[in-house]
Amino acid sequence: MIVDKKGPVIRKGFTLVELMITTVVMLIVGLAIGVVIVDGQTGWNTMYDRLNSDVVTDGYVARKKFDNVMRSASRAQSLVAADGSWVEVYSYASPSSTKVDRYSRFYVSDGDLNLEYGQLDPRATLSVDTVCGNVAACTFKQVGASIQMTLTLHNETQTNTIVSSAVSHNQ
Amino acid sequence: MPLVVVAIIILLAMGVGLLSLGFNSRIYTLRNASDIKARCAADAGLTMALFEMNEKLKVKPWNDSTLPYAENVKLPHYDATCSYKVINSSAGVYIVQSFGKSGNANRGVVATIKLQSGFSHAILTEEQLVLKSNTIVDGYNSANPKDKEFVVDIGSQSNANDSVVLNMGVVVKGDVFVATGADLDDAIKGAGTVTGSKYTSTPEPLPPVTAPVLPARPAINLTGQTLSLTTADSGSYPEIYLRQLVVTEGKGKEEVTTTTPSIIEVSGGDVVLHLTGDIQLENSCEIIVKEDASLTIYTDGNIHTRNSSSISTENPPEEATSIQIYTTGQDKQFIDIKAKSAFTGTIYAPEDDVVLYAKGDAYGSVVAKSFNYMAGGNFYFDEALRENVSVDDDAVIFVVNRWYESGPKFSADIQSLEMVSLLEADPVK
Repeated sequence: MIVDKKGPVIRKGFTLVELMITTVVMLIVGLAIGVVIVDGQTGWNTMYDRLNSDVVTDGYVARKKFDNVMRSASRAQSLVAADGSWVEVYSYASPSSTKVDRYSRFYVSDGDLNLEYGQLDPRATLSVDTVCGNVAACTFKQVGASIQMTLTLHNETQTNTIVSSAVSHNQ
Repeated sequence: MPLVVVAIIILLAMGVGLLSLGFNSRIYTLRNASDIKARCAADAGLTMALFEMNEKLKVKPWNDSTLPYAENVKLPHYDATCSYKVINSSAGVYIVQSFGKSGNANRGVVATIKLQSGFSHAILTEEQLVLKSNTIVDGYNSANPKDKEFVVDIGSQSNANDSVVLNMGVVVKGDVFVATGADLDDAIKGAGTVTGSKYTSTPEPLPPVTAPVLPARPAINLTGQTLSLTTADSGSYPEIYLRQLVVTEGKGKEEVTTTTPSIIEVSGGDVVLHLTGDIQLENSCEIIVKEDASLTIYTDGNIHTRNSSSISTENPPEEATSIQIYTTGQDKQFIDIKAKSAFTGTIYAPEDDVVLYAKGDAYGSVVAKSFNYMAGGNFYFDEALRENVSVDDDAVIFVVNRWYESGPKFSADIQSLEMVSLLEADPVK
């Protein structure tokens, strides 16, 4: 019996064409994944900035401060600059005060929103606090019984505009 | 394969991060919104308590045995509830506690409220206020003559141009205000001087006044007569019409004309008149309030005082409550008052036009829709009108005196102003 020991020919490895196709596919897939990752990272950074950047947190602080000062002010009197660049309200230093004896003035200087706090009669400044920086624009106006602040904060990458309105409650 | 797994893990991590960021942002926004809602609900509770207190004021005599109290009031079209409570503190001051709740957010406010006189200002108008040239506006205190530090202010609750006109030579020894939204330079016009400040102010509510129920009386029509009114004559009259009697004797060059004015003398206590019609004083006729008396007029009609006629007190100046005039009609009224010398009294006509012409000074306070001061003298505000306020007075309302943010629960400890002072004293610091 004659046995033909010659079996089928087994080819090991890939052809050049297969390798090229595979490489191209891998490159495309890799690039796609890379683009998705980079895009995702950029999106995450943008979203994080929108929630936690300095102009956002500063805006939040400014709104809270404006709210507190205005709501505690005397409704009897307030002064707003004709061009809306500053607002001044009056308040009581303590419950034992028989008349308004303190003033609070919001104004913008050198890109900062400042709160000047002082006594009346005689008028004297007690403190000037910087509420927030990065102020691009800030205007105040009286709307009915309330005072409204429109504050625009801007850093190199982001702009945040907040509008806050508060009614004074004290006598 | 490992590359794919790593990529999937990275993408998963990023996805979770984005979701987490979005979720936290949403939670933060919800908390912020709830906080604002709760704060507004607390303010609404305070407003409701104040409204109920002012409704109680309309019922005379005043009874504070039950004070406004409510819990978990659902606010219409609003995802929040409020609770409020008014207590009469040991210091004799009414204190309102109000709390708002929305979601998990709770905010509270506490306020002391006080009675505010309808005559808190020397002159207050809803629209235009005009002072004639060279008028000085100053103050006095009929209840405390030693008081020399007067807080005097005049103003308009309008923010239109020319709301307050201070003609040449006018000096206001105090403040001048107009309504919020006004341009001060346009709203306060004229060459007058203001020693205090000019400012804008939130308009105040000016409650309507209702005439008391009084016994019906016939109309008073006098011609050359003198009538004495005492407390027994208090009542509701359809009309007061005073004419002068003119008698002509002789003829030609011998002709002599004598005139006798009609006079109403008010004496012997507090006289209260409700006029359902007009008060008319023809030439030289007078209504004189004697020193031991006061006159309160509630009028549904107009008041016309012709040349040389007068509504005045016997010995001015004195308490501005000697003459009190309230307009109570449904239709627009016109109040034209003259005085032969000084005028001492108060006029409360927030919906009506008032003209005052006194040959001397005017003492008291005026609230009107529009006011034209044409007197020959100055205007002096009686500070006692602002200070001596009673729940049984007309045109008084409760207003918030001091206001503080507080904890979100009713506190039985808040019984005095001293306890209130333990709350945040200086919100700015």
